[in-house]
Amino acid sequence: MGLMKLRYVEETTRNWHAGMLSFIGQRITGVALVLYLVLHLFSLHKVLVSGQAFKDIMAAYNTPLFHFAEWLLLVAVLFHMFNGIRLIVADWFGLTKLQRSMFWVAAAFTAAVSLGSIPYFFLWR
Amino acid sequence: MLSKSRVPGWNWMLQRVTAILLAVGLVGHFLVLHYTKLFSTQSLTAPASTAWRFATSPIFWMVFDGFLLAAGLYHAFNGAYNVICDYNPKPCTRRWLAGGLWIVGVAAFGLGLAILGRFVGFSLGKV
Repeated sequence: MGLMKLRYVEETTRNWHAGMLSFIGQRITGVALVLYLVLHLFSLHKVLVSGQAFKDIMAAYNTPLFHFAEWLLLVAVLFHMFNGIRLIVADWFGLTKLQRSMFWVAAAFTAAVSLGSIPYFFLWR
Repeated sequence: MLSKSRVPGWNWMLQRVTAILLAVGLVGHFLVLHYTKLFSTQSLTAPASTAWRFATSPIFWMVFDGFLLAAGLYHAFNGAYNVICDYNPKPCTRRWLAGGLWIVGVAAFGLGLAILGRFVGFSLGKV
């Protein structure tokens, strides 16, 4: 396993291009979103305990730190979504020749919506 | 010679189909839950048409979120399975992993439906 891990790191550093960035980004955000889904269900299940328990946990999340974490969640969702759309489009429409430039389009969409959402997460709440 | 993939084809196709459902559904989910304050209040207080009443009914959102939850859980756990399969585990490990993920996924779906049902109960004033 240790050798395999080293091989992955080596392959990553030797193939540092848009396709590899896309692969790593999709994998990291994917794993993060699976973990978030578990946390999301755990938080919401408090509603089954009592209305007050649910309000308490929601109040605990209403801090600047959690607002920042929510914004990071949005960035992860957006990257995973736009990059995923790029993968599907490249797969289904035979556009693999454009896949590298499509990665930068997906990254630009992610950045634009993420930055555009900053006022909502940090100023308007 | 091409070798048989470790992940079946229908798995691959469903991962993409659920991805599209999630991309569309999550936009609706986020807009309704987090951005409704940004919409004009006029549109929210306009005389309710049948379509508007249907679109704002808690039952509609329970069904909507139920499908979103199913798609999300499938996409998440199938994605996790695919990531682990990339590290070439033994066939026996893969079978146990797939079985375990299905059990956790179905349990999480049941929990999610119970949560949604409670929210609908709150909305209808029955809890």
